[in-house]
Amino acid sequence: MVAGLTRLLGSRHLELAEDVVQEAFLRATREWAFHGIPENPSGWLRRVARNLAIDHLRHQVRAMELLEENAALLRSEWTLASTLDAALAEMKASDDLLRMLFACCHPDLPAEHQVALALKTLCGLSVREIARAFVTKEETIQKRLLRAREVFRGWGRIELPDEDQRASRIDSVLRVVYLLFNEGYFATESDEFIREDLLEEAVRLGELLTREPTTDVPRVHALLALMLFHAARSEARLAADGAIVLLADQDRARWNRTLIAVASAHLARSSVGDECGAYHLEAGIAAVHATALTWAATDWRTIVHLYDQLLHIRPDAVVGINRAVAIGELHGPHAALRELEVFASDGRCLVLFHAARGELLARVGAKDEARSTLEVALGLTRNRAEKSLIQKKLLALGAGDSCGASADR
Amino acid sequence: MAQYMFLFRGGDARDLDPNASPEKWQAHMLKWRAWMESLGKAGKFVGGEPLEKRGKVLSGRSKKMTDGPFVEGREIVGGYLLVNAESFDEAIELSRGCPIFEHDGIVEVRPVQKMDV
Repeated sequence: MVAGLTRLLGSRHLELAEDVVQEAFLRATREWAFHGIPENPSGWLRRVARNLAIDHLRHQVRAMELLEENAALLRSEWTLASTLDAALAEMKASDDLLRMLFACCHPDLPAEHQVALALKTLCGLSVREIARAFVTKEETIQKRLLRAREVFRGWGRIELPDEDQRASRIDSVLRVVYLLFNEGYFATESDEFIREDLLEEAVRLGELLTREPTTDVPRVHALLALMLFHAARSEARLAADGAIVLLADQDRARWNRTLIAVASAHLARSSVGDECGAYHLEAGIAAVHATALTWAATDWRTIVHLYDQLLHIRPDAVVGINRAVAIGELHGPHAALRELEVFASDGRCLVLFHAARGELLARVGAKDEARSTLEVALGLTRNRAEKSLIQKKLLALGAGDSCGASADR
Repeated sequence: MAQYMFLFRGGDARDLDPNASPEKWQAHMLKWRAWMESLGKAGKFVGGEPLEKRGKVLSGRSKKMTDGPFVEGREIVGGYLLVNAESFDEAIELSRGCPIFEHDGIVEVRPVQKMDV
């Protein structure tokens, strides 16, 4: 809806579009609590958003700078309502979304600004969630958003860029989708460990890209494969009481085999040509897990090999930590701890780092160190399910047991 | 390129057939919208508004006010439209697309007067 309204009104009125949509959702949460969810929730939201937009436009339209092709239609009572209806029509929603996504990923903005803007305006992530996605401070994100909005406002018409532009912007677009998926898969701020709605949205965006010939590139299929392999495990990741179940302990019978099949199909389509980027490698790793019958039977050698390549093109802490964990499975916890140390400073603020380290220390018998490391992890996490998992590990340590599983990443 | 006004008189389906179903009227309104949107797409639509039925009429030197406009149903002004057209002829041609004619209505086409004073 934000995309549809911004397309109609012009980029200058992005905030109005966001306010209208936000208000529509607020009203929904209030009314649906009392009267139940309507038969056509999407239609309800569109109607309310439309009426809110009408109200605003009736008062302000003469003072607003509007796109030439729409101005007269928005100023006349004859056509105001129907023009807004057309703008919010469900049928064009995907098209609007794609347009806006590509518009946000405009080369005039630095890459981080592009992605932050898209995540905020199109995916509805909070500043906090975006800050976490970038592993940076909220203030930094606020500044980026402020600057991005300023530039965005100046563009006017939201148009789908030409073929060349689309090809060059696709990496930013994919980054948006990837971060969105990540936030859904490892939800930080919510009490749920997984936010299904964000996962679905990310997958949907990925699929939209494959439907456009110019954006239907191997990288997109690799990303889709990656997302779907992970999504296939969603059911098994949480126990009935909401506790996290680590990959090592998951009931693989609960993995969604259909999604795994679809993911594999996308993986196959991604191996056309000589592209082998980060998404390909991550998808490959996810595929190895997905096809292993048990944790013990997993082909760790291949996984370590893939992580080696991934670390080479993406030398960041999360990759390094996951690689260390895999090395732990292949060569034992001492080797893993050595690999992990390399990321001691980068990983300082990551729950993942301390959780993995605590795990490995417990395995080599360094209980006290393990305990203090896990306590650092406990202090860092904001997620309820994650907290309770770490607490369980601490409890197990205290009782003199060692925990046998490692992070499900 | 000049501006012309369309004054719509009469042709209100509700007046002519008060028993007509709301769906019929809705369908008719959709035709109006489609017509106006086509004018919009062609870049001819400048502006215009529909008018409520109620009104007051002030007349003469005394500015005598009466409720109105109570004229024969056929002639009540229901609204107006301002369009861009290359010529009077084109404006007339554009007006032929108006759905008001289905209900025996009238479109008065008048060129906007340029005032140089």
